[in-house]
Amino acid sequence: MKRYRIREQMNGITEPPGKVWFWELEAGVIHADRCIQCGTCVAVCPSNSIGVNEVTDLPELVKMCTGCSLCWDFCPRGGLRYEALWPPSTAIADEDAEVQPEQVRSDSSDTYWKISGGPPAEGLGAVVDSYAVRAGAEIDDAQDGGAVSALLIGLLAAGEIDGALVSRPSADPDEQWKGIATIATTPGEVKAASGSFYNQTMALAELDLTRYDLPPKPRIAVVGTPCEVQGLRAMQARRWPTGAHRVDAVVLTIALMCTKNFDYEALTLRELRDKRGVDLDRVSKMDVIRGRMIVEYRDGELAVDEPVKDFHGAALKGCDECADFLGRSADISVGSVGSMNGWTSVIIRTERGRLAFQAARAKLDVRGLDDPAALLRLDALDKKIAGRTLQRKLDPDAPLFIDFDEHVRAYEGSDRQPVFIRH
Amino acid sequence: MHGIELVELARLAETYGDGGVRIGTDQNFIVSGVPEERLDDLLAEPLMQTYSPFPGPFERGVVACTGSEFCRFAVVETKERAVKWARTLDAQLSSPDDGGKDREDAGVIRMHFSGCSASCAQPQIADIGFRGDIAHVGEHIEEAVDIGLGGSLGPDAAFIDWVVGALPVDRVPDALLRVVTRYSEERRPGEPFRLWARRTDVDDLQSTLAGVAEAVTS
Repeated sequence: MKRYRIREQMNGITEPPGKVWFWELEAGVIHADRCIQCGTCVAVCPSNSIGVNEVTDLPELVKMCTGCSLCWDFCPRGGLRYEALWPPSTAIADEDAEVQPEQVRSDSSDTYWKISGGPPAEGLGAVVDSYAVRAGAEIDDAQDGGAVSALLIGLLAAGEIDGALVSRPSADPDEQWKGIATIATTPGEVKAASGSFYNQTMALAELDLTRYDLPPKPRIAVVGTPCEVQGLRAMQARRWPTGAHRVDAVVLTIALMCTKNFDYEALTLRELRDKRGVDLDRVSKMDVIRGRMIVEYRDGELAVDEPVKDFHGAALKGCDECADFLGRSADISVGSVGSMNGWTSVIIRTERGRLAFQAARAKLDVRGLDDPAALLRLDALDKKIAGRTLQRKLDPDAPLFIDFDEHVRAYEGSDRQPVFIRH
Repeated sequence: MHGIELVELARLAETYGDGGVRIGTDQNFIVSGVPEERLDDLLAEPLMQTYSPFPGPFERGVVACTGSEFCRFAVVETKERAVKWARTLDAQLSSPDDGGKDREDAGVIRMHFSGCSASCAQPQIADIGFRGDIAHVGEHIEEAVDIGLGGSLGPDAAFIDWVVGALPVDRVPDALLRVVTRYSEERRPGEPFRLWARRTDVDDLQSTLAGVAEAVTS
């Protein structure tokens, strides 16, 4: 193969120390089975060189890698020390004390907010307000109180946002109950996306807004898992000329409280359809609530009611390393834990979140949070699991970026170590 | 060069030459068909003061890809920086003490600047090659370059070795001055930059470019 001699010679050029390419992300995250499919790498790549593999739903190189390292730097399982994004926690009031501690307000709406500062790992994170919320008018197929759908519809109606990044059901008959990322721009599209899908969607990849009919300076709300919000907030704070992905258009982040997410094929097809005989055509709702996986049919029949532990084999391995059940980097965090059935727990974390909530409040029934301690208990369990699986120290005060070499040293010898596949 | 300067160049070509302008592979321009008797007037034009027909060894050999101004692959801005760095180094070499002897001896020292890892500016065959990268500076990220030394075409052709990775761009001029000063001091009679770089220990070059032996990683 004489004609390739020059290419071989050039491949032999000595690289500088610490050079990071997409292949380092592949080795440290994707091939190590740690990818959480948040789509940050796709959104951050300045040359749009990273796409999503249609079969595996994992990131893949679709064009030349320029070796800029950003995909590694901003990956919540790679170079991004996600806990360093957490703003200081609001101190929990001591009712017996004569002087109440000053409320710490999150300043995470600022472009260059200081990243850590208080005891960020304690309590509920930064809290401006917390409520139990449900939609003022019932929304079909919505999860818990339908608060997120009502909030988005309220924001669209108030002209505060032009669209929302949400998950809608796949239209592919072979992908029943698979969530697909989409930008909903009308109340009807928001309603069509109501309810939860227990798979990651590479959501941030959808921030290439060119395929949507939006105004020139669109304002987008992002509803996503805590890891998606981590990647997004890091990109917004450490702005860099990006490719087609409009992280600058995101004006509101809503984190769905999350302890783990699942691989679509493993959970929905293998565990539910194949092992348990669930008829996916008849399913009206899937929910993980109080530690149980609940699948309901449209006629009200319970198809599955089992401890969620039974499904952990279908969970994404990388989710174990996340200690951010509460979505501390978001403007608003929402979830079912901490509120009665039929209501959604809502933690408003920033001024931006408070204003958005106010704008949509007319569409919501609102009362106090029922059981904040339940949130703290699940957060503690989530951190315990992360403490066992994360191969580095959880340290909100450490530098935001982790070098690949440092990662290799920390993960070497573990069942999460980098896997180098020769291309 | 900016568009307005190219328009002016076209005017000069029509006024003084046969109307032709050619562009060399090393990104220098040639105005063709200028009669001897019109040369002094051409050289007196303001554009010729900016783009001298008698450039220093660095400006003579500087090549850059289009950079982040027009290319989505590029990680950093290239063209403005490349020229600025070349002129800074030329000024350093033309010290009044030696009457510009170093400048003459050095011939051409090629600096090729690609905004990313692609080879559009062919940094691998330059005396000094740059490749756009990103550096972590504290909690932030900044434009940076990988720097390689010692490449060339011709009888002693060789690709460069990438010596330093992700050096923030505002640290590059000083880094280049240090390495060029070393070259001026250590070069053997008639020794071109690339051969000096190849015979100098890589770790040593790394320390010189980095200022101290500090770790710089992307």
